[in-house]
Amino acid sequence: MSNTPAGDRSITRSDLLKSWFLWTMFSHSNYNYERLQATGFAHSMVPIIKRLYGGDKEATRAALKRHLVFFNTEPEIGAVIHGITIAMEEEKANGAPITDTAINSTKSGLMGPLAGVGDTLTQGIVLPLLLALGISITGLSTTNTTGDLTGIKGNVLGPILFLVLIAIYSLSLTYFSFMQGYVQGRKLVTSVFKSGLIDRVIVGAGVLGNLVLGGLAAKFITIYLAFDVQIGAQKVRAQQDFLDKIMPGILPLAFVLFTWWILKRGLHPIKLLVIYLVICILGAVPFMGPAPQWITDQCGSSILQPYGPCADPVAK
Amino acid sequence: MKRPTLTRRGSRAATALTLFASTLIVAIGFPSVASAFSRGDVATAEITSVSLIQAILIGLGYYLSQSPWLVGLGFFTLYRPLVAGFIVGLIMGDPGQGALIGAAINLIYLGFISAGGSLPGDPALAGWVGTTIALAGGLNYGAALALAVPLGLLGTVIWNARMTVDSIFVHMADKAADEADIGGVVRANIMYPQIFLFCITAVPVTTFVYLGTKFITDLINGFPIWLLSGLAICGGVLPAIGIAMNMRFIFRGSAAPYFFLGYLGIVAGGAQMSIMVLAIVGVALAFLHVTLLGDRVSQHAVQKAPSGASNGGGSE
Repeated sequence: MSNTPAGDRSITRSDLLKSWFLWTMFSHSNYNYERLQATGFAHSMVPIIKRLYGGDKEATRAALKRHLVFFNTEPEIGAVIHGITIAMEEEKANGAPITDTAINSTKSGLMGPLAGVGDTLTQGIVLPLLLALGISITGLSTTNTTGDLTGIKGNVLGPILFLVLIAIYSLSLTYFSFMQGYVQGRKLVTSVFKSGLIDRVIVGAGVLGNLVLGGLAAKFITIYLAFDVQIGAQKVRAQQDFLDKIMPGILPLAFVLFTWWILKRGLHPIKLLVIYLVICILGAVPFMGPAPQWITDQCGSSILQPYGPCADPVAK
Repeated sequence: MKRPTLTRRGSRAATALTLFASTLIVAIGFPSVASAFSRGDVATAEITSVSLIQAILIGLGYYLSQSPWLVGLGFFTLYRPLVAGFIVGLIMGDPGQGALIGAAINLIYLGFISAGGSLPGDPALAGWVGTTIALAGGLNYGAALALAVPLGLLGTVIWNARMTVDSIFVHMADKAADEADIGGVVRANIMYPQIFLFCITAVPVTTFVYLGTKFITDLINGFPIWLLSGLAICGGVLPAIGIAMNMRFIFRGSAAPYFFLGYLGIVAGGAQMSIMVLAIVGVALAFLHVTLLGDRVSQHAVQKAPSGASNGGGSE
């Protein structure tokens, strides 16, 4: 900004705040398949355009069209792009030789990598982590053994705490990215990526995320095999006498790893949900013999068992 | 950055419709045929009916979960079944139980990450409508989860409709930009898409909840015992998908062993061990892990988003 004609062509703090607010609020208001967040981006540039090109119809038209191109990124960390774009627009309005192509290529060059980092961090780690905490505070795990939810009160602190924490995370990260992007420009992105700070945060958060996810798997995935195998004169119950002897909880662990593997191979998760639903219902069908009771005292004739392993046969 | 062409969009819609239809057949058609043949005398749980005002509030809540009016935080808060369940509970007069049911439904949608404009399943519809029906009908844990499956699928139809139709408003924004009409661009970003979104979210949800709750709860409460226990088995099995979806993002590299550590921690610690304790241990371990890795941390960072995010990334 060497030849800046000082005065009304510079961005004020309230313009930045307005633009940040518009982005935070309306980034996905008109989300669509054709250009994703394009109108959201243009909308967030409105206070900037008004300040820089106010009164100049031709420049306003050009600026609006410039920011209505395809745009899609992760709205928190991706707000860096808005800061950088505003800085470039300010220079351009003050006579610096910045072409439309330069602005567009900055935007489209940054939106991919930042979306990758941002989605990993926000949707991949932070959101599930806070949800896991919320779910466990609600006290769901205690109800899992009986399956009957009626009459049990959860702790409402769970959702409330989640709500507050995620709001703080989202708003503060967007604000920080936006303002730092404006102040430091492009070099912010390169310096942060080079310093390895992002890598450190993502690896650390990945460790924490994995640990909590493992805990969730142990708490909430329950599968009980219900059938016996007759070996000679001895009756061997598949769950207690065999699987649990190898390692307690080995079946759910193997099951979640199998699910992960099959999803990684590209099966649509909703399809898998439907497949599992059918398997569970088929697993409960008493194909031969007596219908199962709610909590049976011995293994029925179904393959799977709700609410805990079937107990030792009652002595007659 | 590949834009979905018209044919791809069409085939996506066709796939979604087929999926939806097959889910309906599986989740409602098959059990109701089965129950028609083997309906026993089952004591039906007490059913609270949903009043019109409650239905309107629930429809409004579902609309707000996807709209920008909560400073853009709807996607992080109301969109999550944990929060949705809590608020449905407030509306129906039992926030504690609502939060509990919401937490249960949230488990199967834990790792459902939306990136690059695609949505694998709609947690919000499952949360809002699923909790309402479960709460009104006094459904058990497994039935509430099984109900959330077709609802999550139905939600993707709404999502696709929105993403497709919103493309029209981008062209309206283009036209406004041609005339340097800032207000026109803003209207194209907020007004038209939000009116449309309201029509396809709040209106059908309100109608469905008001008219359909009794039908569905009657249907489920009339299921034979073996089918109900099949749904109860689902309660233990379906969370595996939510957890595995999240594992797809973070279960890799040097952080993966911590998953097993977390799993065994909960298995060994039993009911005493909470997720909160695990998370605190996780922070310590994360710090240790990153410190020990030192400069090699960037080789371990997970920055590659899974396949869904490859077309430009971005969230929601």
